[in-house]
Amino acid sequence: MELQLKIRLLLLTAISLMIASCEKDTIFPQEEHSANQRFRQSMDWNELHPYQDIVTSSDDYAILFMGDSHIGSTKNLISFVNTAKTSNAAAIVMAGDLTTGEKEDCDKLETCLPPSSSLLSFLTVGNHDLWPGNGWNEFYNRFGASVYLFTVKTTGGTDLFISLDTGSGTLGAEQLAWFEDVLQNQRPDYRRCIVFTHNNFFRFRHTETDNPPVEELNKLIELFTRHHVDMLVAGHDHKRDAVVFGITTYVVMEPCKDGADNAGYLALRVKNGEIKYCFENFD
Amino acid sequence: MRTSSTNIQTDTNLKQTNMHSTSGSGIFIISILLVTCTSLVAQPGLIIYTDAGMNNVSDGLFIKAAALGYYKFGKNRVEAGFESSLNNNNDILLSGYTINASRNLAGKGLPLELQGFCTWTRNSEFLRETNWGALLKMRLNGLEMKIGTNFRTYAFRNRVVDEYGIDRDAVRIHENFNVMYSFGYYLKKADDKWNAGLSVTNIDCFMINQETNPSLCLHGFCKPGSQVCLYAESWYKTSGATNLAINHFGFYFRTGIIWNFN
Repeated sequence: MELQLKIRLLLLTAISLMIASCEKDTIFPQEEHSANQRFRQSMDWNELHPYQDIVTSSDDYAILFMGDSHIGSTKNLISFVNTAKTSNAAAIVMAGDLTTGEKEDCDKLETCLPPSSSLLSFLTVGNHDLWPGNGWNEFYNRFGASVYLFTVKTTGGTDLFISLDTGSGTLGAEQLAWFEDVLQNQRPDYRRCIVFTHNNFFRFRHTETDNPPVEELNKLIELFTRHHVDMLVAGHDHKRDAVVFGITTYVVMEPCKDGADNAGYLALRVKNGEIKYCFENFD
Repeated sequence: MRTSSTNIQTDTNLKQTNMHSTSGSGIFIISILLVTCTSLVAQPGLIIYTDAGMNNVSDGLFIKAAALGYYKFGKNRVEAGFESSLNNNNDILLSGYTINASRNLAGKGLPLELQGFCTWTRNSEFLRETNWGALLKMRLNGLEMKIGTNFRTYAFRNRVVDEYGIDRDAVRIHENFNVMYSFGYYLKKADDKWNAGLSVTNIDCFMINQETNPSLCLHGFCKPGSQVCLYAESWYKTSGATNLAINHFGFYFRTGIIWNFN
């Protein structure tokens, strides 16, 4: 009798698993915010809002990157934006976990962003931005796509910047196909290629934060190498790291979060096609 | 602001992290030494299985097949095998090799088994992956637990290193240690004529995922004869489980046979 009960329980689990495997678009409560769904919404947004092209007057420009501000409070974020303005940066890039997904935090972030007429901001989501359930809606309604690209045209060449959405720990099949298509068909037209996203790729230290599954990591490294991606800028791990693997430099930024001992950001400079970067810390 | 590093162009001041493969190989060698205490009756056997499934990077259906031969003597067991990709989106045919050795350390009422292993896999045309490690297994009534650690190295294949002019310092990368686990529950306490169970794990024969990317595995088997065991498994893979934003990654089904020659 006890065995029959166990069998029934197991059968129920088996059926649930089968449904989860085959009907992946309905099984998770957060499915409306799945990687594929966010990608589709991002593409819809991109159709209405063409990719930005930044033009500089010389072959020397800087872009400041940050991530993991986890608003809350905004002291470091305001400092970051002010630094970008005073240093005449071409743009700022914000690589996810900018908020905790709450409406009030998204409002604060929106308030802190500079007007696009003075400084362009490029944002993507991290896992915390998707949480709680309506985090993605809050983000999307204010800031738009999490998957897109922008370019910087200088007197010496044009560089390509690609934003990827790894908020769910995977790109998802559709975003991966889009990324591969961009690399195959557009990457050859550009001088440098820099990808930014939230999740870091490698486990340089033992941590509870997750990375793309091994199968996806293999695919991404192959794509980065095959198509000469120069750099990946990520956050997520809250600890700086940088390693050259193949022909790509994989950078993990420190958090921009107020109160973090190692709070900081990344300054990237491209001069005559040469990429240089440095980690900066807030006092 | 304070600047804590000067401008860096490429690989200066960058590091290849955590040279752990030495300690991983040490664990493996210890396991081999344990096995050298040979015993009396030898039991050779063969495991053959096939996987079919899809995931976010497979670009459609993938099919894999694997064969592993094992040899039991006394409390020890050695096993070696390979995996072949029969249908995938790249040109890899032989996608994995593995060798492992284990010893039964069963004490009073606590069945323990220690395994040392090394696995080589090729999931990409560009990369090869090496994993060394050790795994402790315990089965108590219907509960099964495996826990261990592995050390992963990604390396570019020689052809790619030449073709893309990759610097010698940037050919491979060693990750920090990873926790391997499997927590399972079986319907029946002992593996009699049949059994079935469910487990949460990041371990498979030729694939060890990060501890933050668990899979669900439903497995069952039956023994139509004393020498043969037929089994089937359904695997469901997720991503982002510790990210607060879990997402479907893939699934596959496995069918296999275990043939004990004695």
